[in-house]
Amino acid sequence: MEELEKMENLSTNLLITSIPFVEADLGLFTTVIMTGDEVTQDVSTIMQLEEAKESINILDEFPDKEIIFKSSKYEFIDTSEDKRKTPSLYIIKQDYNEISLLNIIVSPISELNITKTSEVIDYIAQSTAGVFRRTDTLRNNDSLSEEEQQDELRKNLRDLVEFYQWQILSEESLQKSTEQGVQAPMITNSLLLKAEIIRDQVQCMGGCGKTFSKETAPAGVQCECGGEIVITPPSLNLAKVSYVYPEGLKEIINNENAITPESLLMYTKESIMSPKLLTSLNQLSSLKFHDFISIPSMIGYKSKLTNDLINVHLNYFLSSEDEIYIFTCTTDTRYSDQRLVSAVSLPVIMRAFQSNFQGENNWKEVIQRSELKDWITTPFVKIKTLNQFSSLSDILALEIRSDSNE
Amino acid sequence: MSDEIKESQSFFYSPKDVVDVVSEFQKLFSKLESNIKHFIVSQPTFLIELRRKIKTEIGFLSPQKKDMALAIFGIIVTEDIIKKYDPIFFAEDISALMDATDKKTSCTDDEFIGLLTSFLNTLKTVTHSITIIINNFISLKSLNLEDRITRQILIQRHFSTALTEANLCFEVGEFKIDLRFIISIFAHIIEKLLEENEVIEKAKSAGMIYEGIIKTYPLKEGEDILYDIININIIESYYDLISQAFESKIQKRLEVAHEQQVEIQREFQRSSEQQTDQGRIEQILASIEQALYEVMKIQREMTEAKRQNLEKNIEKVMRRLAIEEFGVQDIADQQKYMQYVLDTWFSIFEEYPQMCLPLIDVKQYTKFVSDPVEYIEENKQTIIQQLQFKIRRHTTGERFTPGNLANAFSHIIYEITTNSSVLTLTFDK
Ligand SMILES: [Zn+2]
Repeated sequence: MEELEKMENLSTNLLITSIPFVEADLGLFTTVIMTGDEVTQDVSTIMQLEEAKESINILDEFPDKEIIFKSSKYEFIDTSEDKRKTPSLYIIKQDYNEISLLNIIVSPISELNITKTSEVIDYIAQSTAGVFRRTDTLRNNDSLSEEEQQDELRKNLRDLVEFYQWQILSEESLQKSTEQGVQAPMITNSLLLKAEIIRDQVQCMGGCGKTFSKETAPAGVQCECGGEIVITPPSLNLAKVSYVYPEGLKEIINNENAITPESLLMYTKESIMSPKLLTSLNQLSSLKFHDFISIPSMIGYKSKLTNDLINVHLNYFLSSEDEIYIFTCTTDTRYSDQRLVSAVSLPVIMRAFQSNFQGENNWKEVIQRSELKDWITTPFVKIKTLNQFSSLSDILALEIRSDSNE
Repeated sequence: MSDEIKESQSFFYSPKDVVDVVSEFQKLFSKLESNIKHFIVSQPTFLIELRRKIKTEIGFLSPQKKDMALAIFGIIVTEDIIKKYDPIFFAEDISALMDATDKKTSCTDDEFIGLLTSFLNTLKTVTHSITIIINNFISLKSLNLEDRITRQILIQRHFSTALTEANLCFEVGEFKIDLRFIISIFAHIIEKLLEENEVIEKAKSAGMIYEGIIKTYPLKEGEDILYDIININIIESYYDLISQAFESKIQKRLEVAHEQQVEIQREFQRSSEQQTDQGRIEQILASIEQALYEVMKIQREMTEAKRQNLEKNIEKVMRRLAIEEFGVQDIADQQKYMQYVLDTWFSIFEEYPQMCLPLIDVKQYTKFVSDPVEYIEENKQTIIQQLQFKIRRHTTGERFTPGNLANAFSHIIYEITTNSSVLTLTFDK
């Protein structure tokens, strides 16, 4: 209870900025502002966070290179009560020239306006680029030392993030009003994922960064490498997936690489929070969420060329303490084919899932009774074996095969 | 932060329209162009006098440009375009202006007039924007914001906009100018204000300031430097001096704000006294009616933002009730307030019986659904216990305050109205 109350009052704003210095290890700046609590100064936590940032960059490795990750929102779920908890967690990524920014917000504000917030982060990126350009020029003609340059960058980032935090919490200007939506997007596909909830893990905060089960290495002791061993919040291990998509998806999207089972899953899979990032965030302060699981509720991508938006909307069903189903719908502003379903139906689809879904057994029935009823639903496949299927119809063939065996 | 503060104009500077900047340029350009010759012919003594004063400062100009520059200064003075413009400043400004636009070595007569037009309009525009910004600054200071926040508001929402506006004065003349010169114009106008307020002894000309800035600030263009160039050359150099110059005004504004606050409180008490006869429960109900209607009747989603809003509304009512009853904004009789809250809940259940669902045993669902009204009536005590339990849990067992009761109330509403079973049930009469 006390923990929970604390969480509701805390608001963390974390910005990891990477600047293209010649000396690569000098180019990472971590700015943490925490309202309502002291910020940890623990070096290993900060280092872990910076490493975790690298894992988020994977999101840029799409088969479709012009799609980039923009933002995601997560909710904490207390599995003992099956309740969403405040705060929510947001991850926003922004690049400006060579500078890349990763912003993580953990805040009781459950409705941050992502469009406006991204603009603020863009401003921070742009301003930092200016400070960097000036200080670099001064350094090149020897009027500034390397250390002074680092200090200036650090100080400016801090000022900018503090103002950003003020806009969120005090001015409340970055909270949700209506969010853009010039083009009405279409739903292109939907997934049902089954995931195991992995609990009782601990992790080394030292050099090796290994994960152990709680029994073999109790928290608080030292790892072989000398690092401290800390508790890891529960994380998700994706086990199975079923795809829902319209007939003719191949013609509509017209890019075979973009609709392989693996690439369709990628949009969701890469946003499931890495245990490492969760653990580092959990260490950041007395802000503890190691009792809760975090699942994304919205993941946003953008096309670099056309500014089109690809969003994944998610919902969940907790079937037991250790098992969760995640339902996703992907909307995309690039397509308008009549065989797709308009995103206007999204709330209805989400609500139908929430009230009707009971588990794997009635999954097909849930789809048949929803707005996606005309679409194809594949059987479940193990995610581990996904690379054996080069197209969605390969998965579908599985079912036909097993039907004919009966 | 209160809504009136949020809506206040002092948070932003709004720039002029592009159309106005274009027409101002055309107007002044044709005025200068058509009056130069006339001025040279009609005012020989003025020009000789002026030439003697700034001879060395404009030494870099060709003889013909010298005549034009002198005549333009004459027009500025006689037409009162810039007030109290020191001729030495004028000469220093022209020199810097030619440097900042790379026109010192070659410049046509038309370009020369165009440059001076852009420059004079910038000077006027900046004089105007600084007046507004300083005024906003005084308002911001009187809101008791932290200085580091006020500094950012000034950079990001005032000076950035004003700097872009000033730069536009050159863009419409198709000139590309060193941003440091525009910054110098801002600095010059600020220094004039500081001089008037006796914070500094003597303001420097924009031209002179520019000579200094180019030695320390190495960049002259790019959107990315807007923040940095303002931060370094305006905020770091002048923020404290401006605060000092307007100290007494800020103090006065603070006092006025405080008096208003007191008056609002008095007003609030007066109006709440008039409402004593309106039922207390109705007052609490009124504060949540809208939200309930949206969620339960027209299926809008319950959100955290709505919950927070509910909490605020309920807290307001609770405070008012406490003032009415106990004369202070706190709750003296704890039991009485629990009763108000419970009564309010049962009024809610009258309208939306399905909201009772999470408070009853799963085994009783069928019974409840077949006749909810009767069920609630029969099981009132159990429901009360459940409600009390939830309220105590949310108030962590502490003594009730308008704040924690409102918090508990809104969380319970949130819990219930996000419960999917509740949302799928309807008992329309
Ligand atoms: Zn280790």
